[in-house]
Amino acid sequence: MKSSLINKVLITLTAAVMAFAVSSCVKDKFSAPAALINADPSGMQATMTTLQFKNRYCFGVAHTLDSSRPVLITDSIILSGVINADDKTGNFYKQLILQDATGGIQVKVEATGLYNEYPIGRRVFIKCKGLYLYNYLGTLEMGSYIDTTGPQPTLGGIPNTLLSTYVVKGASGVPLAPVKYTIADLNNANQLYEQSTLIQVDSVEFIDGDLGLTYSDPFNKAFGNITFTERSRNTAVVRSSGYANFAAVPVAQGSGTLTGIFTIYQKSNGTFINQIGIRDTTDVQFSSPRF
Amino acid sequence: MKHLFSFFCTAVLCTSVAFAQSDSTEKTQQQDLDVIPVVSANSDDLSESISDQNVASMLASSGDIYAATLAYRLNQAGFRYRGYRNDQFTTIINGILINDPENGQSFFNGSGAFTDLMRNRSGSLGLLPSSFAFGGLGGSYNLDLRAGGMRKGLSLNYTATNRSYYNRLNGSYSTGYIKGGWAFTVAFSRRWAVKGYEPGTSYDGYGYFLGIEKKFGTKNRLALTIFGTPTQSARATSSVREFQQLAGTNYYNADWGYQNGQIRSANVNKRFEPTFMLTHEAKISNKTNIITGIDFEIGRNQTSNIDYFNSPSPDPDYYKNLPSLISDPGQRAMAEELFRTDANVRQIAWDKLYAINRAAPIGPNGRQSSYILGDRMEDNKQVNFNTTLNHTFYDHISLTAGLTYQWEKVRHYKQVNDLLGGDYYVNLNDYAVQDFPTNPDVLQNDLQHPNRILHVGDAYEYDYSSQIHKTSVWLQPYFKFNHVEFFVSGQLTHNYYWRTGNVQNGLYPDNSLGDSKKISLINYAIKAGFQYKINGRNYFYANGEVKTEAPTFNQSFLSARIRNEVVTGLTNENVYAAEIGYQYKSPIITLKISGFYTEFQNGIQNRTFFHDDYRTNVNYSLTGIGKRELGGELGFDAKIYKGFSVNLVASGGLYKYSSNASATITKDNSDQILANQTAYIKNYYLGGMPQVSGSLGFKYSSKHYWYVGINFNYFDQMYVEINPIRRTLAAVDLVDYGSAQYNEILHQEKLKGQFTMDMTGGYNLLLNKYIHHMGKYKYSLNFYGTLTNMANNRNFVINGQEQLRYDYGQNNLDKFGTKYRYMHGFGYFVSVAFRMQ
Repeated sequence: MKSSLINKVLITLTAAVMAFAVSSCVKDKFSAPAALINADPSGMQATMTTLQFKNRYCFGVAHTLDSSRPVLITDSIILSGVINADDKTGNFYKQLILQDATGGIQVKVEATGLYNEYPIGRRVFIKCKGLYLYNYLGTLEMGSYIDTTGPQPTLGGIPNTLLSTYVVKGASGVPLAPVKYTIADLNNANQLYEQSTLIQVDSVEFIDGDLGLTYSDPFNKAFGNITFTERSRNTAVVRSSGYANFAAVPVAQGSGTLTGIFTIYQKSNGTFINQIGIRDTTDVQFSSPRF
Repeated sequence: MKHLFSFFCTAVLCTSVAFAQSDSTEKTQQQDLDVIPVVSANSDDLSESISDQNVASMLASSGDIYAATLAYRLNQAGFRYRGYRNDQFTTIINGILINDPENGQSFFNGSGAFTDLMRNRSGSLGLLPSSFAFGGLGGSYNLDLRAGGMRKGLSLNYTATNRSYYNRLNGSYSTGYIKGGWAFTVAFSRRWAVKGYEPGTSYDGYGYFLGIEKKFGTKNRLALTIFGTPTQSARATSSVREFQQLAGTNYYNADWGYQNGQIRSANVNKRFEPTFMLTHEAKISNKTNIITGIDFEIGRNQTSNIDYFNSPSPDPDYYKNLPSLISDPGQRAMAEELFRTDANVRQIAWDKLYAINRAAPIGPNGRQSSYILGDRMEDNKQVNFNTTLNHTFYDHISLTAGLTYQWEKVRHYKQVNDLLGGDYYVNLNDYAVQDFPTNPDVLQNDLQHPNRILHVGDAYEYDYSSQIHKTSVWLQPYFKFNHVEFFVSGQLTHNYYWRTGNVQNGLYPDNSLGDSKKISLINYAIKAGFQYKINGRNYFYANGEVKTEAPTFNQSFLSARIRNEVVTGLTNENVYAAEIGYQYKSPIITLKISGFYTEFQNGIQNRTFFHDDYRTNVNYSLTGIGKRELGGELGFDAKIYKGFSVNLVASGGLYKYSSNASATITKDNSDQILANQTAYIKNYYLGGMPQVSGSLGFKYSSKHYWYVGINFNYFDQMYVEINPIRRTLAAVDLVDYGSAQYNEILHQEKLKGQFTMDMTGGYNLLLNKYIHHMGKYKYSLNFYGTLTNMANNRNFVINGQEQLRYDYGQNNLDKFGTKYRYMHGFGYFVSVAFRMQ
């Protein structure tokens, strides 16, 4: 009698213990992080414009343009600008390009997929102290060390891990209006001050001889140079990477507005050519008939 | 380490199993081990080795506490019995073969959950014959979970441990046979760890069990057994040494990170494969017994990871994050410091992934996620049928015969688990576009639903089913005379399997959808052996086996995930094995010495990995792989004085590749064969296990129901698992022959030999004498404890694996370095059980 009572108690107890459900130990429901406020970090502001910066390092404390080595930036300078091109389509690669009201500048980065965190329209703050400035075939770039692994000392891009140490993200979706150029303006532009900015050329078309081409060579991954022209017959070039996802796209056949980044290319004879680098084919709005 | 214990098992089991052959009925070991609770050796430490550990746990639970505890420890050092992989062990439950037909793996998911139900079991190791299965090279294991055989009464058990789970609670109640020949068993189990051993891991496993049996007369038993173990665990994976050193721990786990300040793992496995078993046993006469069973399993096994599109890898231990790749010392030091100090660099930065997805431009479908959490799904259906006959003709001749049929269908696919703040994902192949810039179709993972917008729960990337029919018959006559016993057995197996693509892949529009070629392979196995009994105490035996084995499903297809292409030159593997042994057994001393030899020829392996030169996934199909595993084993146990005993187990082997392999290289993106190369792997060691190991143990057993033991273990001759692709001409292209770099590329790293020390103890307390009036029931408390790696050695590499990816450009071996897994430091496993019977 007694033992059966003990049994019942035990069995009930067992059942109770077994039914005891500890809350799930492997968490698989997570609340999403709170949305970030789209604003610049407080207390962060530019200490000089890119124009002042270029003047200081090209003609003032250093002569970067004439140096064969990257020049160390020792001042606590903060530059601020808005990203005007990113690597989403693959035409730009391992670089941030930003501009403020006075001009543009590039930052060399050892990372890909940068458009995720540094898309077009994001304001960034560059903490320049400790970075290097380098004149790479006419293009001013900042990086974080001197790369001596090759035959010539050159600029080392900021390692991915350290990017947030030097580049602080600000608000995104900042509107960015291209500056209107004619081809003559482009060809005669001040390369030092105007490079790496977003520009727009109206009423242009690709030349007849290039109409059968694609933007670049996706098979050999080679750059493509497509010449565009105005009614005035001035010409300039749209240069695109063979890795761009629009490399195999036939060039636009009509005429219209061309938008892109003012880039510089040094020819083998040493002369510098001003070009346009498009972010995507949507930068080529050639919906009008050819002239 | 598995060596030791299994050797021990051999010593213990060979008498009871091999020589009990003529008993004709299935042999179960019903020794009364009530005094000591059974230990589960299943520590589920890391995903890649679960199934191997499972083998250990099963063999360990052969009913012998030495074997069990040894297994528990040996297991931790990656010991493999005679160097065999898991698929060389056969597992029978309730008369049914449960090895997975898709990969041959021996896996009983209840082994950690229902230890107190696993008392009726038997096993045979190596090539010894058994009365329940033909057996793999490593042996076979027979577990009887039928309700009628369960120990009557109630059992409750709590365990505290510091392995993959930290707590275990289980209980069972069995009625034994009651009125009308019925018997019932119910059991429940829960294992959990809010925080597991490696950072970022956790564990949550349930188990339920229902057994119903009805006995008809004295001759027929019919049993229904249902069990399942829904288990969820956040896992850890190993890493290269540079990251482990920076993180400051050999247990560095890159698979987790903080989200909203909470730890979230990207590597979560959920597994639930409930099993329904029906077993009928007819004891037709004293001489004839037939056991027939069918089992149904239906379930799902899924593991999550982060997927990404046109974005860099979010893995903190991605090779591009290696500070050593930064040439500038100052920048490298800064990157190292950040990795050391910033949890969002060292671990997954979930909050950043959310921010990225939320910052994507809004299109007609919302924001496209760059990063998602996806699950690799395996939806599994399985039927296993088995019938085994044991018949004794005369006193001297008995016969065992069996028929097995297995069917399995597994659907493999990926499924969106969490969009991480975005609104959708796309079903496109990120890599394909670079190779076929003018063919937009190649981007499509599913040509019939191009550019499909994916939401949570949608299938993506790959989607195919494997289907396998496997039928075997086997026959084993056994002859027993006064001094000599011998047997010869044969097995014939038909494998019939194919792939069914459920989507049409853009890279292979003509060779991905629908059924592949149906592969039909016939395999045979012949095994024979004898033992000679010099007298009652001295035995000598020798066994040998010749067999062929079909490649597994995965090894049969070039890239099973996306295409129907069968490996060129698909062929059976030839296997030759032999063992000889001597055993001495007296009431005081047990001694066993044995030697073994195994040769595998014509093996096939498929490796898929990202190739830096080709900038795409490539498939290396290796054929003609040969392996040779030979060695010796020693088992010794002596009762010295009263309760004191000493035991020594040792296993020494030489496990090597015995031939070079032919590698056929294809890109994931075309049918074209890129190259035929030779992988010069001959004479490299087989990695991932100690080839030499030994354990010396001392034990004291008191008459008063307690015991304590201590073991000193040693492991040596451990090598990292080589990447065969590093041993090709292509890998040393442009490297000076005989230069230091050349030698380094071809070198195989040997891991350091290590000692460990373990202790075990147990005590059984009968409560009846303390509490009176408890009626006819016996109440007892059992205490059991084991302490492992008592010196807290946290530098014991138990597995090193060269990555398949190779830096063809610079031959930098550290870029895709060897990944190391370390033995856990000091471990405990302490349990208390209450029993009423």
